[in-house]
Formats: sequence, C-alpha cells, structure tokens
Amino acid sequence: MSFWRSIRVGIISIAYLLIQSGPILALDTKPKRFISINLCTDQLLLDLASKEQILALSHMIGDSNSSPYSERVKGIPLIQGTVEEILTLDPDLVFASNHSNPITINLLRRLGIKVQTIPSVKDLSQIETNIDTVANAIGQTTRANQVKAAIRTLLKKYKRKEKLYRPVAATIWANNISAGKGTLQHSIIAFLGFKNLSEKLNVTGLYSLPLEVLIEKKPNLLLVSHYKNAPSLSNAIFSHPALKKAFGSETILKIPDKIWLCGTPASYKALELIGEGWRERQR
Amino acid sequence: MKKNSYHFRKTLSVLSGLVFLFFLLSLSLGPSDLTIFDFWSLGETKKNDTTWLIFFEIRLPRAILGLAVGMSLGLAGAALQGYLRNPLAEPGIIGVSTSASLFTVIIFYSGLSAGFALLMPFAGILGATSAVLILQSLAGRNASALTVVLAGVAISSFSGALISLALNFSANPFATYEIVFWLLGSVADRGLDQVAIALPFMAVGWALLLWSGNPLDALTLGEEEAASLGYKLSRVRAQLVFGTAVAVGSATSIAGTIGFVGLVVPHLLRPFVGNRPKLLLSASALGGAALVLAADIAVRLLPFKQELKLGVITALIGAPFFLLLIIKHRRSVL
Repeated sequence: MSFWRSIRVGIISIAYLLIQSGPILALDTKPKRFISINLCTDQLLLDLASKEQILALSHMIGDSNSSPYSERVKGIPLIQGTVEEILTLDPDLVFASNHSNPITINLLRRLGIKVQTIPSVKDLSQIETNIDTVANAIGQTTRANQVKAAIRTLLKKYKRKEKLYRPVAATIWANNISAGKGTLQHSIIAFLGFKNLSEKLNVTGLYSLPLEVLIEKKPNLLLVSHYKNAPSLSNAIFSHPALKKAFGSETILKIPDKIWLCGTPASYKALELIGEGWRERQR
Repeated sequence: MKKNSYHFRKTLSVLSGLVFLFFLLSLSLGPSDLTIFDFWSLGETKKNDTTWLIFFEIRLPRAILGLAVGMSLGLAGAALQGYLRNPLAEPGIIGVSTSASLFTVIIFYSGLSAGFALLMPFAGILGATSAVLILQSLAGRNASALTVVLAGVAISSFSGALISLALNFSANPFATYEIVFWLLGSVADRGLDQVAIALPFMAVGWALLLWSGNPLDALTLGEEEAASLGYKLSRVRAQLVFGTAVAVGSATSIAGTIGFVGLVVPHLLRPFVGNRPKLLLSASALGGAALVLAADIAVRLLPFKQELKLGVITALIGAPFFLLLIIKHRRSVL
C-alpha cells in the first residue's frame, strides 16, 4: 500500500468514526420523545414515562374495550401507526411489539428512526423484564423501581401457601378460545395455585375449548371474558343456556379481556381480581 | 300412476330412515366421548347432570337445526324449480339465502335483536322475500333459465358485498371474521332457545310449500291450463313466494347461507317420484334434511382444528353437480 493511499484511508476512517460517534459526543444522549405503536407498549409507556415524554400512542389505547388505560390518554395524540404519521412527529425512539408489522419497522429503521421492539409476554416474570427494558430506554429507572415494588407487594399477598389441593380453573374467551401453558393467563392462574384445565386436556398455548368439553370437565373456577361490546357471534358462548345451567354464579368469574390481554403492570389487576374472587367464594 | 305412488312410498320410507339414522348419529357425535347409549342409560336422573346437559342443550338443538334447515332448503328448492320451471333454481343460487343473511346481519350487528330475539327470523324472512320479488322484477315473467340464474348471481354477490360492509361497521373486532358464518353457514353451538324462535317460522313455511303441491302439478301443464283447472295463479304465486321466504329466511337467520342443498336434492329425487312436483316436495324435504344432517356429521368427523362450515361441504357436493346440470341442459339453457 502506498504512503498516500494509507493516509487517504486513514483520513476517511477518522472522518467516518467522527460521524458515527457524533451522538455519543453530544452532551445528552438519552432520547427524550417517544411514540408507541402497539397497545402493550402503550401501556408500559403510560406507566413509566412522564406525560411530556410521550409524543403519540396507538389508537387502540383509547378504546375502552381493549385498553385498561383509555381514561388516561386525554391530550395524547393517538395514531394508526403508519410510517408517515411517525415521520411527521419526529420521535427519538419508537416502541413496538415483536409482533408489530415488520414492514413498518424495517422502513422506519431504514429512514433512520430508532425502533425498540418489546417481546410479547408469555409469563408473569417477563413483565418485570419488559418494565426494565422500557425504563432504561427512556431513563425512568426510579419510576420502574416503584412500579416493581408495588408488584412484589401484590404478589406476596396472593401467593398461595397450600400446595396439596389445586382447584381447576379455565379461561374462556370469544370464539371458545382458552389459554393453556405458555401464556400469561396460564402463568397467572398457576401462580394463584390453580391447575389449568388445559393441563388436564394436555394442550398448550391458546386452544379452542368446545362447550361440550368445558361442561364435561367442569372446572372449579371459570374465568369468562367480560366484553361490553357490539354484538357478535363470537360471544354466543357466554349466553348459551347450557353454560348457564352447568355453571352457577359461584363458579363463574368475569375478567375483562383488556386487563390481561397484554403483559404490563395492568395485568396484575387480573391476578388481584381472581385471587380476591376465589377467596370470596371460599368463605 | 299406481307404480309411481308405490315408488313414492318406498322413497319416502327410505329417506325417513336415513333422516332418523343421521339424527341419531348427530346426537352421538361431539368433542366429548359421550354417545347416544350414554344418554339412554341415563334414565330419569336429574336435569342438571352433565350428560343430560350435553345432549339436551348442545347436541339436540344442533341435530334439530340440521334437520329443520335441511327440510327448508330441500322444500324450497323443489318448490322454486317447479314454480319457476327452471332446473337451476335454488335458494342459494338465486340469492334468496344471501339476501336473508344480509338482513339478519344488519339486525344482529346493529344490536336491534339483542332486546327482541324474534327480529332475527323476521329480518331473514324480509330479506328472502325481497330477494324473490327483486328476482321476479329483474328477470321478468317467463324468463329463461339463464336470465333467472344471472339475476340471482347479481343479487347474491351484491348481498354478499353488503354483508361485508355491514360487518366492517361493527365495533366488535371479531365481527369481520364472521362473514364466513353468514356466507357458508353452520348449525354448531346453537342453544335450544334460539331453535325455539326459528322453528315455528320454518314450520309455517313448510306448510305453505307442501300445500302448494296440487297447483304445482297443474302448473306443469302450463299457466293457462292451470288457471282453467281452477287455480288462482296470483294466489299460488303468493303462497310459493311467501312459503319459500318464510322457510329459507328463518332457516338462514339462524344457520347462515347453506348453498346447493335445494339444487341437488330435488334433482336426485325426481326420478324416484315420477317427475311429479307434488310428490317431489315431501321427498325433497326429507332429502334435504338427510343431506344437511350428513354434511353436519362430516364437518365434525373431518380432522381440522377449526370445524369446517356446512356450506363448504354442500358446495363440494353441489358445485360439480351444478356444472353437470349446465352441461346436460346446455341446449335449453344457452
């Protein structure tokens, strides 16, 4: 390699390094203004970020049927989550789920916008991991610690001591979908000391639970969706005469879908509802 | 004539046997392993027993519905073919079922039927009636078989598109997926309460259609000849249109659109009843019941994660049959 050529390569490399490290040299490196384009990351942001930090959230968070925080979003712009909307708002960081549309995320990254994807939760313990990830990214570790402390107190309160008797519980949602092992809902009812009906049926993940089987297996506690919503055939199971005759009000507990659709601090409300509901029924 | 009535009786008894067999089989099939024998051995035990609940509240409505919907479709197919004197007429093909679906969809998803369940069959009947009336005005009197089918296709696809539109308006996130039910039909997981609402209407429709046997026979001679035999054509027409609308409309309002039953059944049975529309009516009613019950048994036996819709099975049988008919009747149709 000739002398001049190595000089030239050297200069280019230094220039390149300078350009690359530009943001590091800047005084304040933490991004400040955030967008979330997913219902679950919306909730994490609302719990952890200060209101000034939030540029926009997804439109789902304003829907009282899907979002536990629909009351808390007044004044925050809600967007569909298209690249165009996000570009106009010029955020420092965008939060998305690992299930968010990859086309949108790739395009955002190509256009130079930072995107942080948060994995969807399949187990209670993952919620705290996600809280940490988001809190670190937005510089709100103190708030995260407060939230986690509250969670631990709640967990302590509802941790079941008795190990011998495990009552059977089952979830039933629209279109007869039920949650088995490998879902947040399973980990919540397992934490409370229940045996999930899915274990008896040898199925995992979300599975279709026919009405006949549900009635035949008769769980001790049935957690049904509570949807205040427009009519749909998917909800027919909740008003089926056979379900009403097989399960009395002492077995059925209504849990709104929205509080445990996502794994966020809001999900512990479901844990509390079920734990409290079961205690009441045992009295 | 004598030979015909002998064949007719034999056909009816074979069909009744089939319906009875499929009905029992339908009661024996489900995700839990209970069979009809468990039900028999149950005896006079308490009414909230699990076995009793599964049979009486889940499987019985399904079997009754399969039977009743099949009867409605078979009867309506036979009546429409006789009345329009068109071998391709069928509630599904000429858009009567889809239109009934559309009206039911509007009533159901708007929440109007939540307080007043009777509105569902009413909506279905209204939808079916308007489809028949529109079809008549579109195709005109004495229309060729092809014109009737074309007008029906137009009504059917228009209603289908409007169903999709109506479902998109719903605030419920699941509603859009339910277009599959409304366009392909199912009798799964219906309650006895819903069956009790639709069944009386279907029965009225059956009565009206079965009663029109004699004038239909007369109509095979031609309209003027039928009139000279003393039948008031306008009355006959009204009875057939309304009978079809009530039977198909109420059936569709609870089970969705199930196609091709009314096409296949009368054609298969016609040779056994000596081409007499009157005899064909009762035979097709039983044949339709047997076909829908059998299709509903098939969807439960096929090893799919999500149960197939009934219309898929009937279309798999019916569509090739429809094409065969077109080829067979090509000269008269085209």
